[in-house]
Amino acid sequence: MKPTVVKIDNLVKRYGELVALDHFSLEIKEGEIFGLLGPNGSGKTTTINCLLSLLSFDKGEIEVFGREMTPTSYDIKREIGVIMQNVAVLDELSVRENIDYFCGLYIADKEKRKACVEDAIKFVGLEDFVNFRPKKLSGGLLRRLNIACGIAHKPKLIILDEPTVAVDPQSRNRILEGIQELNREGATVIYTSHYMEEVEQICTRIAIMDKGRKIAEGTKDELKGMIRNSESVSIEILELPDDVREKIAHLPHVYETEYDGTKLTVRCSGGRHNLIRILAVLQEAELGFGRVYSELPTLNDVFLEITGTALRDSKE
Amino acid sequence: MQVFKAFLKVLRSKFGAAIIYIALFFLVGILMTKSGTDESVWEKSKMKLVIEDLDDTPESRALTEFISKDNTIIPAFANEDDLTDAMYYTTVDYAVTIPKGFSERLAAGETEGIFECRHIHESYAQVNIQMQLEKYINTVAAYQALGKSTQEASQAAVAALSKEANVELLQKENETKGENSELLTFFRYMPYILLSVIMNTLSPAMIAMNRKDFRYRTDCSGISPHSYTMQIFGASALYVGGIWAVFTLAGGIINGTMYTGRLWLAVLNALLFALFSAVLAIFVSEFSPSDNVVSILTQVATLGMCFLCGVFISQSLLGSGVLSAAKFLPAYWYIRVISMLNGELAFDAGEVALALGIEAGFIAVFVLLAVLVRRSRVTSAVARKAMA
Amino acid sequence: MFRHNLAYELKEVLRVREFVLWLMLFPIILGTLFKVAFGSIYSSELFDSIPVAVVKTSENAVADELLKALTEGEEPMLAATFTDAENAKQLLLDGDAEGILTIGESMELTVARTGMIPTMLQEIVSRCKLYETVIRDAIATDPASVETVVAKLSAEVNACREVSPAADNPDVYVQYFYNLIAMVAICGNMTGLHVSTNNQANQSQLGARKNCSATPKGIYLTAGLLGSCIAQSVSMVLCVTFLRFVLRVNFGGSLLLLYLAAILSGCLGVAFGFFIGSIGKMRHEGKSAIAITVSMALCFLSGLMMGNIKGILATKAPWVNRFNPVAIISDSFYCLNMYSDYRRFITKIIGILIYITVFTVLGVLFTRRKKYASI
Repeated sequence: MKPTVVKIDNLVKRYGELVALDHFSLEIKEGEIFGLLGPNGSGKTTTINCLLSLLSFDKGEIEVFGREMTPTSYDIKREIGVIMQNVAVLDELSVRENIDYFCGLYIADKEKRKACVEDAIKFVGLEDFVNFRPKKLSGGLLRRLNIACGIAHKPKLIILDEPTVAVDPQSRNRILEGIQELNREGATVIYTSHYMEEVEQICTRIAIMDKGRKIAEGTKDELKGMIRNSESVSIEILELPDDVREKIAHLPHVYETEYDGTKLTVRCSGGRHNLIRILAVLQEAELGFGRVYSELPTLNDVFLEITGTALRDSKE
Repeated sequence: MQVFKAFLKVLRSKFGAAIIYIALFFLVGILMTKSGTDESVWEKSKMKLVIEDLDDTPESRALTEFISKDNTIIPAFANEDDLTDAMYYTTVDYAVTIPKGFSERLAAGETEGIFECRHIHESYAQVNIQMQLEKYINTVAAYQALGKSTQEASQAAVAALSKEANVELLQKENETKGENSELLTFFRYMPYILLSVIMNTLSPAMIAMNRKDFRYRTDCSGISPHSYTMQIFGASALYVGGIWAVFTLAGGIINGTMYTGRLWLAVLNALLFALFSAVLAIFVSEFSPSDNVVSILTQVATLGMCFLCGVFISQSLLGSGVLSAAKFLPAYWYIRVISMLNGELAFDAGEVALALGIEAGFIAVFVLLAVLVRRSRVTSAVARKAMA
Repeated sequence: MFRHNLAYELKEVLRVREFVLWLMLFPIILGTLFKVAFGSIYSSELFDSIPVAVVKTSENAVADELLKALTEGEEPMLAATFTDAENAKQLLLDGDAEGILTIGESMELTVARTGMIPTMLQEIVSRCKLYETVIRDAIATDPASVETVVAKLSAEVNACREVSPAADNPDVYVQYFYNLIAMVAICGNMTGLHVSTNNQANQSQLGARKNCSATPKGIYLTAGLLGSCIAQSVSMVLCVTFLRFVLRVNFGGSLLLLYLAAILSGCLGVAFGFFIGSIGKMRHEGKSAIAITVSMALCFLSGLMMGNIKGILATKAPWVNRFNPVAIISDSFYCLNMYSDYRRFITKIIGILIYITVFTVLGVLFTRRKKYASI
């Protein structure tokens, strides 16, 4: 059993009437890449800010590395690297100076710091831009600088709050690979995002948030296993008599059908030959159909089934 | 009209800082305009004096009475330092202490150093008051020589000294002294406030509108560049015209006068200066400095121009070298017009027209400069892009 | 850790374009303009012999005697040009003479304007009348005494014993330079404002990042303030040096203490900005606008634009000068010049120190918070 790195217990945070975090609990083990997934406004950033002791909260307890987290827990903070949603660097300083400055807030020893800074520059691939001012960098490079500033001191716990917002796919991949590399080197990672593809791609464990509450938690397979849906079959079909639809709905494992005049969607839970059985019904009724495809559930389906709204729809 | 409306909204958001300038200006405007005097009849200038009578005898009181007659007596200060400050800032010209034993010394004819005097500036006022004091002492001594007691001599001296020579005040030709001088004092300080308010608001607003992303987005929209420029221009004109109208009205209200005759020239003069301020503001905004830099530039422009051109300090006090340099600044011509209207300079319609014309010329020059800068910045941006 | 923060604070401040422009270029430009504009005004306001045109229409012994007394000596009252009536009028209108003295039966005065100099001329001309009156009185009482009486009347007395305060440089226009330095000092609020913005989690992302770091808030806050004060001091020293040694403004008093006062004033500016930055949740831009506008208003009240405003306020509303930090700063330079003992200078310096302390302490109290209710 690996030790617990972060433990959040029954956290409540209110902004006046609005409850931003509603009895939120979380436990993150060492070596995980933990994904915090949820639409905008679900409380991800608030959780992170409470975790970092930036925000005051109304109720609950937060422990990091087994100790209570307070604003003056400098020994804990030394082991944490933070990459904020927005770029936070000094415009007046060059790339290297920025990294050195932020690294210096953690590491006093000059020699050690110098090595760390060089490693960080190499890590994010900014070798050719070390003397540039941040204003001269493109959006993707700026994000990489932002990350370098957060991880240069080689923290054991890295918190990334939507680091890939407004980043081109190339830089995004680089960032995601980088995170996995940091994880392989031993860092525990907390990663928040509303891009479920990213979370699916890199996270070992995921918590889904909505309206300040944790609605599900587990590995992605565990999450998908939580829902009835194990397969969605979609068939393009222009004519579908009610009795045929009725028949399909009563097939084994089928729990929901949806028809909008051009496409029939059938959601099934478990079972192996769902598609063949559905197509058999259609052929029997001598109905012609177009493209047919079957999808495995995504995190969106998980979110959808638990909350009743699609994760995608609630995006900006 | 979207651009027009948006620009006015941006202007409104930048207006907060201007309000404090305007409030201070009105405060000072009210303070200052009360001090205007009628200069068509002879009137003595009063000196501001502090008299401290420690002797308090009939003799010393006679002296105090004599000195008080034509001068402004300022009540004594709580401490020496306040007096010193007041003398430095010329709220007091001179301070006299009549020490104890004054009457005895006067009777004995020991007049050397009989008063304790304080002053800071070797000014005309200081020389004048000293002259008056010594004249008084001499007159008393003269009457004492006639066998009068000190007290009688003092009274006789006061009587003799009250006979003053007549003064004839020669009027220059073409002079309109005293007419509406209060209102014109208000106009005299207008360049400062117009430039401060307009530069501090219009420049940041223009910079906000010229911001790259914003410009690109507007350029991509259906609106034609011509229409865009005209709308910005219209909104600026409305704003600047509004500011000018407010000050013109306020001037009339504070001074309780209607604009008549030549005073309309002052109003026109102010309009031209308001337009110049606007053009300068737009010119500055073409370099898209930050709001802080705009503040500095505004300070440099307003203070520099106002001091060099005689807004704060009369042109007659400035050296000829300063004034010939000031001719290259519009405020110089603005003040010239005001001087011709208030009688400091002889009124000459041709000269006024020339001055107004030169102000218009400055406006044209800065419009041209603004256009040039915009062109060169746009083309250089395109060139950079082409190279990249 | 502290040195690291301080070094970067300095690096950062010195690279802010506005800082360099505001605090270094600004006094140089305006100081030069001031020097050009008022370099020689003060001396023109000092007393000098008054030019007059004298027109004689008939002999008048008393008037001649008087005129002689007034035009002779080391520092004569009048500089007389003897001429005819026509020419005299021209001289007067051209401004080459302040008045026309017409000597006939009595002495008459013609002037072209009102003011202190014409008033003095009237004073002088009235003396002729005084002589006549006194002599008439003398003849009436004791004709033999006329000579003694006239001698008494025209005797040179030094009735005024000067106990004037000893100003090193009484030039009242130097106060514009005092106010210029004070303005540069108070503009230190720009760097001070950055310190509070950059270190508060609810003001900037940068602040949030620093708050998450392993460095205690006290360290980077102190480093920030110290760095700003150092940078500000550099610009103060530069400003005073430029004014004193390039423009040769005579400030009077001890130069060393002038530098000290300037540096402390700069720190006051920084503390002021830090204080403004630490109150409320307004964004940096808004606070910056407030700080600069308030500073300008304070400068105005201290006499940067109109030199006599401080004198007016001293009589109408003395508390304004007493509490206006910019006025305290410019007064400290003034006191150094005006008072030979340092009592008042020290009072002003204490005033500056109190402001620094109050602004800093309040600023720290407001930023001390470790956790925020919202970001």
